[in-house]
Amino acid sequence: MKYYFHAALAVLCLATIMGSSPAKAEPTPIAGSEKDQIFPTYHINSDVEGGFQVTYGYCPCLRWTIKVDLGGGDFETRDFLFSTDALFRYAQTETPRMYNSASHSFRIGAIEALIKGAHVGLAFDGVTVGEDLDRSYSDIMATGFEFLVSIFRTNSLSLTARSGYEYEQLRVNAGPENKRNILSETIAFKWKSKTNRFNGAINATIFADPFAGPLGTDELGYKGSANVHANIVNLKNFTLGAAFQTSYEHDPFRGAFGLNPNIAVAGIYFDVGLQK
Amino acid sequence: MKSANLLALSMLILLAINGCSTQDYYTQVVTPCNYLQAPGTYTSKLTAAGAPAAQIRPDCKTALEKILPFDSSWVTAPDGAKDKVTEAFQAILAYSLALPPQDMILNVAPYSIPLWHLTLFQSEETPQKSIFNHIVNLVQTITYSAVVGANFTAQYTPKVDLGGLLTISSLFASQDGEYTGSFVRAATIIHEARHGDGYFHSQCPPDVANGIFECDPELAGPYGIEVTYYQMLLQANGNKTAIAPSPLSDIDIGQIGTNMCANLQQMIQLEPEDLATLVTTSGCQGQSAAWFIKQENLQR
Repeated sequence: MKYYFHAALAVLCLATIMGSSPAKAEPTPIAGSEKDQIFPTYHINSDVEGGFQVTYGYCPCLRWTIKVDLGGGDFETRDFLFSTDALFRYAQTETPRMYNSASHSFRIGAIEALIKGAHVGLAFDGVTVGEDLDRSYSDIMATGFEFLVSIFRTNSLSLTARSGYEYEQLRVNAGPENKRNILSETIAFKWKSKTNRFNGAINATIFADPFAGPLGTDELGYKGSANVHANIVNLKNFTLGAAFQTSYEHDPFRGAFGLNPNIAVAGIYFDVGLQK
Repeated sequence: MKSANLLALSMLILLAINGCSTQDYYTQVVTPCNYLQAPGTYTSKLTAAGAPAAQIRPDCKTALEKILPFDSSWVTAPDGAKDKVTEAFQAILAYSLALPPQDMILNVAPYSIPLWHLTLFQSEETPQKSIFNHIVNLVQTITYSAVVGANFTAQYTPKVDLGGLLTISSLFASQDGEYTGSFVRAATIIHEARHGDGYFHSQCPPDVANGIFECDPELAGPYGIEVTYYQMLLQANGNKTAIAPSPLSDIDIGQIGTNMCANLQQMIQLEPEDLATLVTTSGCQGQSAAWFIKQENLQR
């Protein structure tokens, strides 16, 4: 199975390289658009990130990480903003000697659309499939969508509230299939410097599966994450960056299986990106 | 295109690193080493001279010493100490292992054997081959340490060059006054190799091991893989059949059960509810072999 993922990774890498040829298309100016901007505008980026992380709570572990993001970017018209961090994402964590994959996942199709004037939008989480040995999950399939409210948004700052529904199915310790219907509330803050040298994000979420039974405070999950990222090399079409990211999650679902519900992760990651 | 070349290069490096492969050491040693000790022997206890008697056959010892990366520190070890390590590796490849129905532990809590362990024990044709190759590939050096004052039998230390250093202390060979079958030392080696997967210990509660970082949060860690190994050992070897005796004596089964329960009760912080209830209400750590035979439905 591992070689299958290696092959897929190689194909993704090849696709990234092929996608890095000089841009042929240019943004099309629209007569009479907003005074300082010509619409539509678009940015496309692909990114390969590698790093290491320590985890605690469920698994006091050291892991190498690799993540390939393809087809990220945004497309903005006078009225709409479509954006995604990656239309196609492959992520994998490895043990220190890299003999075993601790987790791997594919995600495809994540995208969000914001109606600029109304400050509302919709996000599709894409479809994620994979396996996570550290969490004891296999045959994972997850998808969902969110309703967005943009509380404020400038060129460098944004604050968004998200109400979401997620469907998830997985097996714990290769046992019977579990299905979850998760409702969530998220507040997401993003910032970037004017030169795009630095950026970061903070997210906080509460979530629960109200369809699983009576809902009390013990059944309420929560998670938060924060990251800062710096583009060490910041050329027009190429970036070389580093990031520090930390997250914490409390998922009561795990407690029913004798698993630790607390998942803490901190890591340092390096990335190579192409933009046009 | 410079940037594309750089990206391609970085990804090829990542792919090359990612593609680390393991060697099949098992096949090199299985022929001379695939035998079992007589069940229930006490010969692993200390001898009058202080060092345990070696039980490993000479041809197996020669084969294993070719593949096990012992360093020069072993010249300072007492007689027989090194053989006890070799004997533990022999036990890992020789004792049959089998998963219990529904991956239960102590015949309760279906699907409680962690996914990590299932993966490690099922990566090759047999569980023995899977775990033996996994361990030998993870250990780059086996060194000896004469312990003075410290209290460890073995430890695994990842090295900067991505190698793995397995340190065996003097206590490993001569655990004072305890009956110690070769499969008990095998479980210790398997425990240490789990650290090679990048899994370390977390802090114990204040009433366990003085609250030091020596516990596991879940069954998936090093103490849990000892439990899984013992459970698979009982499943494959615990029954007597009409044509073959059990490779485990009642004393062996009592020792295995006691060790399982000690880990479950003290060193692993969270377990499936059925298992945690059984361990706390039965006092299984102090139970006899007969209790474990009944609990596991073993045919004796």
